[in-house]
Amino acid sequence: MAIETGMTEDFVTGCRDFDVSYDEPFEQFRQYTGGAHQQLVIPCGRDTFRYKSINKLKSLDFWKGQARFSRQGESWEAYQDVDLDKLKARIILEGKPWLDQGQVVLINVERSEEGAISETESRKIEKTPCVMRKEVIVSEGEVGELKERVGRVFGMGAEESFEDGMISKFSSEICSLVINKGDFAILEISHLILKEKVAPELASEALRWLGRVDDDNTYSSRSWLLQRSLGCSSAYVRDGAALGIASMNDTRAIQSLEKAIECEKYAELKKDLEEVLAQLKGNICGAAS
Amino acid sequence: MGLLLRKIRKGRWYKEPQPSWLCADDIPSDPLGDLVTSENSLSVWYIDDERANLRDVITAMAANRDHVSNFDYVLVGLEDVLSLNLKLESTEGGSPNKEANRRWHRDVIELSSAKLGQLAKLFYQKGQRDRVQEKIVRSMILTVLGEGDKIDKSKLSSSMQDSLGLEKN
Repeated sequence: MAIETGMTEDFVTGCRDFDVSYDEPFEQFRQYTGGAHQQLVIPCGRDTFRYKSINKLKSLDFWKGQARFSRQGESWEAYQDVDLDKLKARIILEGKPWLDQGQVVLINVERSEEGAISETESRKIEKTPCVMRKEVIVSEGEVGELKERVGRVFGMGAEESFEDGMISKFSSEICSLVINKGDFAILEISHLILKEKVAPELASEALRWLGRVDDDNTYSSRSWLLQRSLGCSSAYVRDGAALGIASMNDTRAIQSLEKAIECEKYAELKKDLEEVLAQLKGNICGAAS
Repeated sequence: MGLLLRKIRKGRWYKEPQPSWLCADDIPSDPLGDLVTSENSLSVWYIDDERANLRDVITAMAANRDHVSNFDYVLVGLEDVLSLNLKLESTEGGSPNKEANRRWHRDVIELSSAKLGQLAKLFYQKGQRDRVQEKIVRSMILTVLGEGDKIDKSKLSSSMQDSLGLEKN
């Protein structure tokens, strides 16, 4: 099985991106890392499932023995010592008992200190995969539909004008996508924004609203996208990301903001980023006192 | 003579460094997105020299939205606006603050595209842009609501009341 791996250093999060391509049955394998969020995208083989999303790594039983995660300060390290062959086999093995053919599943799992859990816990997850956390399960066909829908929403947004503090059709659709399709939606939106495939105004508006959506299940992935977007080439997009982070009030973004401030060339935006940073640091002080 | 305030989205106004394709005396077109006219008039708010009413105006405008959000604005000198031979008219504002609506709302009237361009240039080149963070906006609105009847709570949108965590009427 041929594996191609590309790895780039991300200036904002300090984490690494992997793009791994497989031969059949896995045509491609994309893994995002960053913040507290890890996401794997595994196109469907005949008997396997396709998506796996890991917010935290407590229940890394699918990878038991094959993956290790560690923590440095507040940052997550990328995968280490992962045997991708075994990972694939493990997914196929674990997926069969409770997943229909062609079904796509997204699972959020919790981190343990050791990066591995007991067999008991592992079995429990196998038996009740859908009640461990709120999960979004969509079929393979629905993934394609979701991609189209996200594209349509952004296409529709191009016809609107946006104003701070005002709800638009676009913002309502973005919120609806996130709440109903969870990390699947974030993944598709991330693709459009981080690859800069949509107009800066639209990306900025989407990021503002991603910071506002009241949805715990996608908190980590939204935070991850907002932090990553601080590195986009458009100042308008970076501004939207900063406003989204301010709305989330997420102190985990402090490091990303500090790096973005260092790199920011627009004096006005730099000042705005500094204000968001001060807000977040104020939160830490507030919590401490 | 005072100042004029126009709410904007700062993201449209970042000006450094100047894009290479832009002539030295020209401005980008994105800021025009914040200067949309209606019946050839542009809504602005008068701010006195001491800026004593700035807080009231910002709070009134920020409360007149669907939800609590950051408030970006630009201020220019009234004298500079009048030097462009632009006409101003006192008109009733649409915020939930009646007094602010009556005392401080203005329209720049009879705007042609050329005059709007001049005004945009003035805002862009000489305007003072600033942002009030969402957290502070929330606190400002709640403070004014707690102070009495400056802002008519019943005029706030249902979603704004939700956003502020207020019990609805």
